[in-house]
Amino acid sequence: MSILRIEKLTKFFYRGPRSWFRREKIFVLNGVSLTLSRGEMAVLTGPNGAGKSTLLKIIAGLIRPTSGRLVVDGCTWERPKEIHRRVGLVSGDVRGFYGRSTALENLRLFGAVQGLSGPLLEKRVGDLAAHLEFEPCLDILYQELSLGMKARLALIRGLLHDPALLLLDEPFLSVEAPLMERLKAWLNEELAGRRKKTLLLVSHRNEEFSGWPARRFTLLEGRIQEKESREAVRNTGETRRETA
Amino acid sequence: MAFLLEFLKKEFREECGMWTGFILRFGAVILPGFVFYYLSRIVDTTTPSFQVHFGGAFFPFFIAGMAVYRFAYTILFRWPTVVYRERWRGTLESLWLGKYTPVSLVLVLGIWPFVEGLVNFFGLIMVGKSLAPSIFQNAYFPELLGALVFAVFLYAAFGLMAVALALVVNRASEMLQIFNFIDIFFSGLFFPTAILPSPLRWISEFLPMTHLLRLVRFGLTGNVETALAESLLLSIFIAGAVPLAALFLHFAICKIEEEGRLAVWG
Repeated sequence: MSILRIEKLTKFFYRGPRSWFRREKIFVLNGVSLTLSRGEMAVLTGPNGAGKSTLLKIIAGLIRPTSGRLVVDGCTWERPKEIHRRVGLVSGDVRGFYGRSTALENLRLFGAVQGLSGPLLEKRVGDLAAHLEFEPCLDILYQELSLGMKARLALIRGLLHDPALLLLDEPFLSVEAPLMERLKAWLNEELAGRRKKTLLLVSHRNEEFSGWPARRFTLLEGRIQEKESREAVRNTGETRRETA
Repeated sequence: MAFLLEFLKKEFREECGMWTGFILRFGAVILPGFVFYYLSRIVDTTTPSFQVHFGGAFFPFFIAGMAVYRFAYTILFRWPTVVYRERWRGTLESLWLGKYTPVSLVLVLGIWPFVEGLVNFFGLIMVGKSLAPSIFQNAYFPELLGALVFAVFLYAAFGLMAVALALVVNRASEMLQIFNFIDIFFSGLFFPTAILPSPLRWISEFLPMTHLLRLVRFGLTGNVETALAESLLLSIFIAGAVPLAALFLHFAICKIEEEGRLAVWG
């Protein structure tokens, strides 16, 4: 069953200085199509400015597409709040949190925004913090957290409301290599494997996810090309299991 | 409710975190009260005829006007600033991903500016009363309460328009300054509109601030004769402003979602 279905999606922006008469129309996405099933992982790469983050924000219901069809777990862009409930967006951008609040206070606020409160919210925060080795940092002010800690906090926030589809935009940009490997393993085994979450990960570095059992796509000139098919990924997974 | 509580706690932490600004902003409530109290001791030697309606003296006239003005413009300047700050931090985008509609989020972002506006209003009235205990002794509270209700609705609508402007053009304060100047000059904030030349007096009649100022001043001085007419005019302004504000906000939200500018830089 497909969790994400995108058909011929286009998006253009006006670029350049604001003027009533001369504004350049740039097609960032030009007929993007993509389908992801439950429990599937995909890595989307592409050069800087290719439109990867824009695509993620469209899927997350933050940017309105120009044309095309987008269905997230049965919901279309006409009902963005339904999409927000099903999608978790994790960005490598260090912004998006309140600096003068602790990590826990931030999580309580953003949990409340998702309609979570009380023991359920505390339990989710506790579980995710334990999985992501974040427990000692919960009472630290956000502005005092290191970049790596901020990245983990963003991951916890993205997962608080238990979304079916997790969108990760350069999530490991400032995470040290050993921790990144542990997080990648956790995403693969726990989230995609056990909890059957669908993961779409964006990175401009191809090598970052080499050897990861995920479908690979490249976004180039507004179009998506699949580099490694579902079958190839399945084979990689089987080979790994055999080796193990 | 949990979101509202967490958000207000966050706002308080943020505001108190910048404690010098926090103290200065609230401290500034006291300053105009003192300045105009001593100024009025120079000018309040005789009662001009146009001042009779408002209790005769300049000080209560001014302090009531200043209280309304500070209420209105704290909301009009702070609300778009709060929204812009959330965009600049990238937190508006994070809040947008929650279960609440954009309109309810914008309204929640307006709570703190409203609290600040009300603190300004009551703070100035209290400063005035403590400096000159004889003023506002005939205050008619039902009229005053009615005026406050009108003020809240009216400036919620104008505040939403200011927020819509801030969403579309990023900064609203420059354009708001124009309205600020018009209100300062034409609405009878520092002097009654009766002393303006006749053509300019017409302009003042079209400003909601003029009627709100009159209603509050009449409420504070116990003059209830024209309260009904002023209330009716304010109701008309509100009836026009609320749907217009909703329309502006809807347009602004669609535009930033279209242009992908929920988060901004710089």
